Amino acid sequence: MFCEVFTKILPPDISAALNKLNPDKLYEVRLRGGSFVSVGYGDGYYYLSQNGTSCSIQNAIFVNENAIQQIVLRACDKSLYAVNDHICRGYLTLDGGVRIGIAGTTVLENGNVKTVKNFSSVNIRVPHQVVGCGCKVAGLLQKPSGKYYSSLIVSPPGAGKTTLLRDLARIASTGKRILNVLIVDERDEIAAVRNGKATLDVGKNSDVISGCTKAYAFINAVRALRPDIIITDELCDSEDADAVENAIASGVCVFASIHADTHERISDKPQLSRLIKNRLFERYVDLSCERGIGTVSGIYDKNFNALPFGEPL
Amino acid sequence: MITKLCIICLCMTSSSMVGLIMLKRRKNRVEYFSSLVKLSDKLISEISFRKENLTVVLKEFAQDEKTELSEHVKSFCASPYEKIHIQKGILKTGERAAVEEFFFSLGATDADTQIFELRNYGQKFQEMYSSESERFKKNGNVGLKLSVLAGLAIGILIL
Repeated sequence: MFCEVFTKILPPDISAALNKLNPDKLYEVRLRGGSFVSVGYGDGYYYLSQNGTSCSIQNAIFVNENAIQQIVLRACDKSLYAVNDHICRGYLTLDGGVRIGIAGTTVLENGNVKTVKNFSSVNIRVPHQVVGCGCKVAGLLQKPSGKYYSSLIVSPPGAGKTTLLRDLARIASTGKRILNVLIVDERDEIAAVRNGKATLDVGKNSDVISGCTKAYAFINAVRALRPDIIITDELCDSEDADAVENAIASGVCVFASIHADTHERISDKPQLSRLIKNRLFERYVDLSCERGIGTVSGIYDKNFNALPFGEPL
Repeated sequence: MITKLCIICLCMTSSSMVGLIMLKRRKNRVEYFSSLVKLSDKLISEISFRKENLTVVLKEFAQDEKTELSEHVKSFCASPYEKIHIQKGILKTGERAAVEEFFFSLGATDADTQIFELRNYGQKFQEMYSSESERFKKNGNVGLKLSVLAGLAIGILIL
């Protein structure tokens, strides 16, 4: 799947070089106009050369500004107007959940970003669905009745919180007891919906609302779709906190994620601290990259007491 | 006598054919510009509301289209990132350049800018359509009649 995406959007020399790499190790491709292509591969970043990765800039593949423009146009099937909302938010989602972060010059109108022009660099993120990565965690998030506790996954960027959320969605919606899972995929990361279809496995009883704000999705979903669990990514402002608060108050279980080093640091975020203060979440899962991406370094109850789960997962 | 009549008929038929070809060419030009206006309008409404991908909209349009424009749309859809090159046909050099520019500008900007550009192109194509349509109404049939008469005249002159 990734190879097809690379072939479609990237210049032939770059896609040929990427096709030589091990797709399981590749997680990022960074292209900057007027600079060299680098890749996030295995344990770190390397330059991309015709023969694979390279630590030296001498063999690295060069990319110019015009190529970046072409990549963005190819990524949106030359329909920039159709994805302008996403571009204003800085990203595009492609088949298989491949995400392109975009940098360029923003055009403002009445204080809002109207569009982005002169694309200067793109960061292609390759998702890795790790089926089963949430199995052990899910056991600790489940009540004896089979329902789930509202849980918050806490991790720094790139530690695998979206992968864990996706697998939790799959597990919760495919269990023996049928639970209706609603995925509020604001940035198209969890289910990677493309043309109305989830391109990643999010379970058999999952509904996906993508591309809208959490506030909109939570209010309408609770009314119309009657979910048992709502799963959403990256809580970041007070509107998100309001949406989560309303959903939990309505009796819906929420799995969400947040950027922070550990659960103790969430209270440093003034807009979200009330979620902690009001004990809305009953479980906290701390993720880190300690033993590789997706290491579960601790699971805590609502009073921040550590729950025993053995060795870091 | 029969030979003479045959020569006259032959001259009249050939000149009528030339006249008909000219007439058809003019008619095709009118229809082509009319289709361009329709395409601009369709794109404006699709981009304003449905925001469907460009190639999907263009393919939908090309399905029902019987003018030379459908070929140009297909050739654009085959390689939308390159500037299409329109072969010499019913369009003049300046018109070809305008159509090539029109296709090249598609899909490369946000909705507001795209709609603004499409309105400008739509206006330009509307002007082309109006002038071509007027010319066709004025000279279309006259041209055919003149070609028949010219054929007759040539036949008589030959004899």
